[in-house]
Amino acid sequence: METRPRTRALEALLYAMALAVAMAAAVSAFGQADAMARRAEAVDTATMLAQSAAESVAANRGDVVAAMRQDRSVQACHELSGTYVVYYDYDWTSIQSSNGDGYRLYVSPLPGGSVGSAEIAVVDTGSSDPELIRLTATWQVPLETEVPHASA
Amino acid sequence: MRARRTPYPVGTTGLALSLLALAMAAFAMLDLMRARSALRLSEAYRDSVEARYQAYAQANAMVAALSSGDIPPGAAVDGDTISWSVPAGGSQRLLVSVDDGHISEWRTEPDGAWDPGTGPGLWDGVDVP
Repeated sequence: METRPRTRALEALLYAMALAVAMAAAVSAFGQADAMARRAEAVDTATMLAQSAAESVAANRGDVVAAMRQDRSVQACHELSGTYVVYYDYDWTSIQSSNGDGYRLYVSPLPGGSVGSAEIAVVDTGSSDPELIRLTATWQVPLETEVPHASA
Repeated sequence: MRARRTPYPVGTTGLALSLLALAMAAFAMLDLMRARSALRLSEAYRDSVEARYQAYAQANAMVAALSSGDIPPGAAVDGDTISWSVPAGGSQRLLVSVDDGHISEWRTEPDGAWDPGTGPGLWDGVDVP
């Protein structure tokens, strides 16, 4: 009978520990969910941005500067050894220059042949998995020669 | 009169804390599932866009190759018109037609026939039961 208070104290301690573990797991799950939601939003916006850049660059036949100039939301477009970079903060607002981590839009015109092309990528420099999207924009060089017929 | 004692030291506060922990765990799981689904959807959309642009690049290269006499494999040739399709990711394909040196068709469509099914058998307004 003397051990009953001690047993009750132990039970209360175990109960409190179980509660603490459950709460910690819940808080951790909320954190993971928040990170996933932010990543999903970033992928959505990056996809839209990359598509917009691809269409604009293709419409301007590879003239990246002209394409970026048409986008009024772009503050500045920097050229770094043949690759054009637009810096964004974590609110997807275009900024003048790199200011710590954020999003980046890279447009790299590829050496041409008969088809013009440029590689477009959007990355999150602060993420362990930085690449959000990468696609290749292509555009037609008008056909000047005759297309082969059925007999060809 | 002696107060009645419960065998376990769980009172109103403990009960409320238990319910709070349970509710938090349930909401956390629901939030996690929702976020995971949203991320999967975003990635699927991103993958479809990447596949579509890959198909555009492939089709553009094929159109350019026509000028040197390279007809894409599997292309249908009808007079001056050459038509072919390129897989565009998932269940889509890009249809391309070049007519006398100009692109006359460039559209994405579902790959395969769409089967709408017979439905749940709703009343059509004609046959009165």
